[in-house]
Amino acid sequence: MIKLNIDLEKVNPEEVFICGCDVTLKDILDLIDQGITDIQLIKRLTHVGMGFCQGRYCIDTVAQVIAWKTEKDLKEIKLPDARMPVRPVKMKVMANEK
Amino acid sequence: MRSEIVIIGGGIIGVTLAHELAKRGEQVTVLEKKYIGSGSTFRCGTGIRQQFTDEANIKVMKRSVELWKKYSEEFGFPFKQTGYLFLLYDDEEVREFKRNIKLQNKFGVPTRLITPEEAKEIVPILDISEVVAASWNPTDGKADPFFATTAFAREAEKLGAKIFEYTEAKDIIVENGEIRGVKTNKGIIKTEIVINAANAWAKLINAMAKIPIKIPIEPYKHQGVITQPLKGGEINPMIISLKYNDAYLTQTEHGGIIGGVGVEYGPTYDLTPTYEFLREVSKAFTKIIPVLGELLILRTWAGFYAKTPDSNPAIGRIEEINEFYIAAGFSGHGFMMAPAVAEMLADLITRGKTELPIEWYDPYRFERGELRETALQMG
Amino acid sequence: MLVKLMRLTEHPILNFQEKRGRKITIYFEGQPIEAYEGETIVMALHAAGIRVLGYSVHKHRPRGLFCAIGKCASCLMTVNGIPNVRTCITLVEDGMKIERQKDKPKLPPTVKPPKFKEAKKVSGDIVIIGGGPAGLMAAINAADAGAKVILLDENPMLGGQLVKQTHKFFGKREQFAGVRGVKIAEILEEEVRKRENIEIFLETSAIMLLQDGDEKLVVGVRKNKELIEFRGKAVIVATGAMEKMIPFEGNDLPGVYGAGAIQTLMNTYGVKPGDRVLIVGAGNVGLILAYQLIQAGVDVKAIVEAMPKIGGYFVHAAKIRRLGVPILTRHTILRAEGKEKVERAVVAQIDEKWRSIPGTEKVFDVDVIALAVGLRPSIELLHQVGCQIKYVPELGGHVVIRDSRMETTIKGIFVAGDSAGIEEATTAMLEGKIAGIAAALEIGTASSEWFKEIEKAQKELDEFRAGPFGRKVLEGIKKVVVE
Ligand SMILES: Cc1cc2nc3c(=O)[nH]c(=O)nc-3n(C[C@H](O)[C@H](O)[C@H](O)COP(=O)(O)OP(=O)(O)OC[C@H]3O[C@@H](n4cnc5c(N)ncnc54)[C@H](O)[C@@H]3O)c2cc1C
Ligand SMILES: Cc1cc2nc3c(=O)[nH]c(=O)nc-3n(C[C@H](O)[C@H](O)[C@H](O)COP(=O)(O)OP(=O)(O)OC[C@H]3O[C@@H](n4cnc5c(N)ncnc54)[C@H](O)[C@@H]3O)c2cc1C
Ligand code: FES
Ligand code: FES
Repeated sequence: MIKLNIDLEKVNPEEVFICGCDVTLKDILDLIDQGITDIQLIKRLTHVGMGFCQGRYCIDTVAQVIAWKTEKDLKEIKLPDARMPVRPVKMKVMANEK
Repeated sequence: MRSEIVIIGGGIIGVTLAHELAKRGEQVTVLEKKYIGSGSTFRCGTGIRQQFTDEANIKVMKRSVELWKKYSEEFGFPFKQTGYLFLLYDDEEVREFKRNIKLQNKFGVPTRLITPEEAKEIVPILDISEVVAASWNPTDGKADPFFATTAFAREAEKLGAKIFEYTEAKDIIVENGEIRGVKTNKGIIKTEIVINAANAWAKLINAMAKIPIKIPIEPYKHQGVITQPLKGGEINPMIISLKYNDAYLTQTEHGGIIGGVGVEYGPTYDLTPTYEFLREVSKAFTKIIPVLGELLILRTWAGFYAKTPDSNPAIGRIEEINEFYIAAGFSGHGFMMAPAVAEMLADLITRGKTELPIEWYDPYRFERGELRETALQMG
Repeated sequence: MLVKLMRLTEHPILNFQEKRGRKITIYFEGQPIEAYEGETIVMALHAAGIRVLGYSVHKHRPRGLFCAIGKCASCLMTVNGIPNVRTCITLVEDGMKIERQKDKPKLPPTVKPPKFKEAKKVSGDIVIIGGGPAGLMAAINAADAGAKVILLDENPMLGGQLVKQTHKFFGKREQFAGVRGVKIAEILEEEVRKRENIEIFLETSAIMLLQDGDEKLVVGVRKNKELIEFRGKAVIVATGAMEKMIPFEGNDLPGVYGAGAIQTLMNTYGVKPGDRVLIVGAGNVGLILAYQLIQAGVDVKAIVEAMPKIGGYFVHAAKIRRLGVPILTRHTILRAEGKEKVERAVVAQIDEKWRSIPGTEKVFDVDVIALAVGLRPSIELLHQVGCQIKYVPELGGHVVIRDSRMETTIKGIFVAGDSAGIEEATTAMLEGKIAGIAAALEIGTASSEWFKEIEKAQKELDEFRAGPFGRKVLEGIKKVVVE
């Protein structure tokens, strides 16, 4: 089982931020309570990991929360695919000739 | 377990069909190998248009838009009639679109030709320096694939339909031309009726039932892009430019610009995004609206256009196998057609006939060598 | 002019007065601020006491620095009218105008239609992504083994994590034991710059890694504006690590910083991160950080550690305790409090089941909470290109499967350093050396003599990992190395 370094029972999940784009622990826990534990779906429903960092930073925490809540091993939790570009890039920079 | 009807595939087609059949009192089960929408549906560009170039697709899409409107109000998911704006760049294109508009008007779709200045009023950030006219239908629109699909699934379940996710059809049991059941990774479901709604995977399902006719549906990789979110209202309609690589783009509820271009690979089941796509989509978008160049590209993804040789789907009954139906091969327009497709196929199954022009999508046309006029495909 | 609140003028090891570039002026929301050439925007703002860099898009919560290495996107600001600039890796320029972002941006009025240029193309034998100790050693060795090397890093300076290590390193003499990290970075950089067959691209982010015919293509973006296509026969990914975040109340308040970010502020740019700090995590990173903070004259209130035992080296812990900093084991952070930035931290003791024990809450008046709760390999490019990955907690999280010469499951793509598994600079250098030579051997520029060098480095790695702290890593390596 995963140990989150903190006592999740004691904190107010609305004040705990999972993604810099304003997604809270409560948003995630509510979905897990409804039985939704697929990261892809959680992304769709909360927009977690769909901001500027594209989850490179924050999805790991989502995975940890799921593992903790569902008492699963982190290795059973499938990460979303890493897609290019791995850093946000301006459209005019990308718009080049072959 | 048994079920009167088994639908293989839980994309928009599978769930709208399940809803339609359940509404008519049929006992129906949907099998989805991953989760609802995980195939092409959640990867689509959200667009819903009636601006087609042939009678059948115009009629079907007109009905579909009526249904999108009705169900979005009933079920409470976002569907907006923000229009489709085709940018036209030369006389030849204008001539062609005039013909299309006439046909669309004939069947009650209020498309009209507008000036570049009028187009700029609709989307002020548009660059119209090369545009000579535009084809504009304000009743076209867009819907959120995620909320639409989950809403239809939820409503279908309320009416008694069963939706099994992470359940993959492995084989179809046929004895003497009669369907007996479907083998899945979780056991056998007894049934007499199977509907193939697996789109990009449809040929695999056809092979399971050993249907004796050829229905060429192949998966082609198409990609989409989304940018950082902007304040709402910058680009309300779907903008199309056939000149710039079949580009389509619009703004999502969340504020990002979403769209794609006609960079196609296949047939293939590979879904890796490509550098070529990113480059081409950036070129096309910045040509159409130069200020988009300032936006950050956040993400790209790939999905399938399940294509037939005429880009029209195969919808109907396969006579040799009792009872096997197919609704697959939707190219780049399966999302928009879904509610009408569900209606016409449910009509066929429950009443044996339908008012919608289902013959156009006759699955036997390939076998007979009677291809239709190619459907207008975006991206 | 805002006064220079947070600049370090005295430091026992580093001399910033000497190091600082020319004094210039930048404008923060119209207000002039003094800055020095060669520092990043965030550093200059921080030095002037500005910690709130912007507001989140939906809930308008204040945002501050977190990673300081361009990876987390919490430092985005509008710079000279251009929104969403990562200000932690963008250098200041005289007269620069910097604004906070509060909302989703609106587009500027229509601009001219674009003219498309061809992307700049750079070719070599081996492309190395990341200029930390692993990448630098890979570059040096690959170059010596006859390869034409391209080295890129998105930071404005070479050295990776080393540029912030002011302490002397452990390990063997050949691996610079007893030398300070900053010094090691200088030595390696000098070696790299000496070699004519290494071409360096700084402020250049690799945004994708692809197979392109027989070659590898790395698409890079320099200074957010120039697209460069780097082609080579092999690629070495040495992109280092990302700091882990933990969930607690108020964890998004400005002032909650990654340990690495604090080191960057203090050791690279000579800017005090704050006045009173609580450190979360008593591994080596947390302990060393405490020591460095004290050196810089910052008050370290306490270190909290959730485990019953201190994770870092005993000598480091003893030194910290001697300096009067309490290390509270079996404690965790419950929340950060404050209006626009951290003003207090509340911690509590926890039982074996990680539940906090009522009545044990303690409040610390701090303006910075430093998270030193571990690192995780930065594998996004390797994941994107399709290398096989696996979750190996001993190595810090998801890592790529590789062989003993650091080649991944895709031929011609190598990995080294923290991005192969979290360890230390010493092992990063050795892995970099192995990867550099192995890549040169594979593409055929190196003679078979070089096999011996690989074996030598592998032996040194084995020796280094034979110590007590190597045991865990060895367990992890067993799970990812295949032949
Ligand atoms: C980039 C892109 C943009 C697009 N833009 C638009 C647009 O703007 N407007 C529009 O109308 N259309 C658009 N499309 C097309 C649209 O996405 C599809 O036509 C539509 O989603 C098809 O729906 P479906 O239900 O037939 O297929 P899918 O959504 O693919 O559903 C089929 C399902 O079958 C499942 N399945 C397969 N095999 C099995 C099995 N053996 N057992 C169980 N389940 C199985 C799959 O997992 C899948 O979920 C776009 C497509 C792409 C790729
Ligand atoms: C507080 C602290 C104390 C430490 N003390 C010691 C010690 O005493 N002894 C010891 O041996 N080790 C120590 N270490 C560990 C050591 O610093 C690291 O293990 C080592 O720096 C890893 O080297 P690396 O080359 O793999 O990665 P890094 O040094 O992290 O370098 C990676 C580089 O890659 C660049 N990069 C990443 N992604 C991209 C991209 N997409 N495009 C372009 N560039 C990119 C980054 O900008 C960075 O410069 C310490 C670490 C910390 C944090
Ligand atoms: S912080 Fe929102 S995407 Fe990662
Ligand atoms: S990206 Fe700048 S602080 Fe993380």
